[in-house]
Amino acid sequence: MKVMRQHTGATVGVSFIVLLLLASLFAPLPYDPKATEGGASLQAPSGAHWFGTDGAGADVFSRVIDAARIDLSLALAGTVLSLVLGVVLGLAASTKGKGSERLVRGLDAFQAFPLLILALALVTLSGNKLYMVVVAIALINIPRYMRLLRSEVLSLRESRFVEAAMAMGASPRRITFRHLLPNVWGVVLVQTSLTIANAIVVIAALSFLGVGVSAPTPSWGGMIRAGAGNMSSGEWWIASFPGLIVLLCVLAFNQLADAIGDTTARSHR
Amino acid sequence: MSDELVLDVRNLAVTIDTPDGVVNPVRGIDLQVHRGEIVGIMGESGCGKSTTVKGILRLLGPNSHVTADTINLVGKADLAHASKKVMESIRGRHIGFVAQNPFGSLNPIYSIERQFYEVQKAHKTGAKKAESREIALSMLKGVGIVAPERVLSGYAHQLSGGMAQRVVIALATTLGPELLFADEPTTGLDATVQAQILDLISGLVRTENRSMVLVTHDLGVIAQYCQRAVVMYQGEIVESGDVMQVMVNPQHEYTKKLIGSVPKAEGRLNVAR
Amino acid sequence: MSLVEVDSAVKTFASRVRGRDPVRALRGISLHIEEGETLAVIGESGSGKSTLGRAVLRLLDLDEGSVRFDGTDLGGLSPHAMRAMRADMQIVFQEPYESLNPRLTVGGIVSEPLEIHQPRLKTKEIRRQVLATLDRVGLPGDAARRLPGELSGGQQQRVGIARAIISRPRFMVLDEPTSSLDLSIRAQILALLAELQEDYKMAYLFVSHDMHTVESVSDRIAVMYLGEIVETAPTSQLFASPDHPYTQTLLSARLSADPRERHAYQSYAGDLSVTSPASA
Repeated sequence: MKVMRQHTGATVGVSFIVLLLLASLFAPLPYDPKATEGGASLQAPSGAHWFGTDGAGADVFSRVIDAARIDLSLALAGTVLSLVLGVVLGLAASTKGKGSERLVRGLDAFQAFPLLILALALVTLSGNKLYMVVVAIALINIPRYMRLLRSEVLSLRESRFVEAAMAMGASPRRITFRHLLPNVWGVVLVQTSLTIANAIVVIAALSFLGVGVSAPTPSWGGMIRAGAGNMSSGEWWIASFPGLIVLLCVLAFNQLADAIGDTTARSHR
Repeated sequence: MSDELVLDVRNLAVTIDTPDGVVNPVRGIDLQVHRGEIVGIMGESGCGKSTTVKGILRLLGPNSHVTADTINLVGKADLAHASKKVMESIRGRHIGFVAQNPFGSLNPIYSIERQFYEVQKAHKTGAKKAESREIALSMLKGVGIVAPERVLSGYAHQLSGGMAQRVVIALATTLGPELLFADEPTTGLDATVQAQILDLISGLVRTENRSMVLVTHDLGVIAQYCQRAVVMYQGEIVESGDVMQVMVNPQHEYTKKLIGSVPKAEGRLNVAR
Repeated sequence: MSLVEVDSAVKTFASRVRGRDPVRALRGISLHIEEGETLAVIGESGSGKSTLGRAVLRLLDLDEGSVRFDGTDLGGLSPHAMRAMRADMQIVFQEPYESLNPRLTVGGIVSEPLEIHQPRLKTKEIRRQVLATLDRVGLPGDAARRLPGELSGGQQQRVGIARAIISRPRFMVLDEPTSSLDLSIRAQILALLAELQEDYKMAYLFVSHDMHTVESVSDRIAVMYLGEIVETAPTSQLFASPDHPYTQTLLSARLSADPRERHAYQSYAGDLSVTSPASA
């Protein structure tokens, strides 16, 4: 909790995310996010409709809040999958064998693909299955975890305390779980916070392109896409509010990453 | 050694502002250096010996303040009240400084020749490049480097630690300063290299009748190369005097304890008892 | 039979700089260490002394030659058998802080050899032994709950020693165990190591660059120079009448803390640093 006191940005960010999640899960929304009122379409923000209404007459505020449920859950699910597989594969890639070298070569080849396009293709070919969005996020982020783990673990393996553990007869398994992993946890947490931010952007990008979460279920990317056409005719609120929320979420997780990075760096000294 | 004073420091103190408040790493330091003598400042880590030297030379960071009744570089200036500009003109010309890590003192992206020229330029000696090169060659020969041409055209990373420290000493003495400060100049070097470097630097002082302040944690360096010794403990001088007296017949409890800690050749079983 | 026997050990490392010659760290080293004795290995940087210490513990594999511990050829052991062997042979490092896992408490660090080699031991018994060992190396019991970063350099090195002795090894490599410590702390640690050797009848391989330290702790001294042992002799004999010119150079480079004793430094013909810009 000391972290929070010293990092106002992270405190504000985390509070914002938690509030957003709680609101999307439990709070009574002023309007049904999927309901449309023909007569009340394209209304500017007002006391009745804080964020205005969209082309179909749905309340933008209700939709933005409701979208957090699906967008954030997908982002979290994708991040957890990336984290688990990335750490396991990253550990495998940081041993001193031939196999680990091959794994790294394969990683290089894989990362040469434009991963967002790969993700797009996967989700489309699966017939817009939501679990494929999670898989796509993992595909993009697993290599990042692997590289991070590999560079951290390789330098830790050279450290004196790992040499000391070998000298006392610790098994490779014991060295991994007692000496290596606890010492990479800090950077993994930082990476995880950044991954969530990245996942939110990827999901928004996919929905913007019309894959993944599809209408009428509200999603930030989908709302931006729907409102994009209205920008030129002056109805700025339809695309701007979901865009702003994406921006704030990314900022919040970046702040959190900074705060975690600071504290782990300090406790290392 | 003569009675002629070269440096006279009275009541020097250093304060440093830290996030946790103001600290006083060094207090009430009096230090006199005479022409031709080597004064050793000894003590363990954290005793303030390096801070003292950096305070005299005004090489401490922006959060620190140096106060003193006087830091008289006799005949030149009172460093306690000298401006930044005056300090810059004095360092290098009248006072040479040799730090512990030679690679920190050398610029990695300039050739050694260029670094000699930079010294000439900084002090506006008017020496041209060719002239600076001649001076550099003779300085490098003077510090025992056999192939000075090769060293001059090379860079710091091509040198071993001992060679780099020789180059730093040559740079520090290029303009013939009458007073040298050396802060742990051989810590981290092999014993054989240490002996060579210390023989060299003390020889430079002796033949040219200069003076030196030598900061070290190594009692052997004090005993073998200094005429006078100053013992520091927790930011203050606890004992000072002739080396023979301080090292052979120490008065202060801390000095006694320090000298008693030197490993003795009495066989290993005696260590335990 | 000696406790430790090294026979014609050779180890070559590929140079980190491409195009440079490989580093021949050990060029046919043979030595033996008896039960309860201290053999010091002295040498300067690049002499291969630290490589030797690690090779003896088989923390790295030799290119040629063998290491026998208590008659067993360590090179022939399976990884599993080698790990079991390590209860008997330990190491204390030069860098006290770097050798301790910053995420573990002192108690967790010191108990680890017991958890590895005596997995059936009860938690309570482990705690009892940890506290007894901490006490033995001069640390208070409440140190067990601290993190290494909260201790001073001398205390950290005591933790390193406690970890090394808790499995009651018969042999320890001490790799410059006092080089990074202040003089007064150094004396305490050397005294502690001497006491422990007496109590537990351990043999030491004491790796050092410092003649003063070596003179005070060792029974015999091996002088290493560029991957070879140029001279081995009982301590007093080596200091009284050094045979090899390099040993004479090392002795002359010693700086006595007594100003009445003077040595004149004499250089050694093979000393690369004197004449040419060394490449390393």
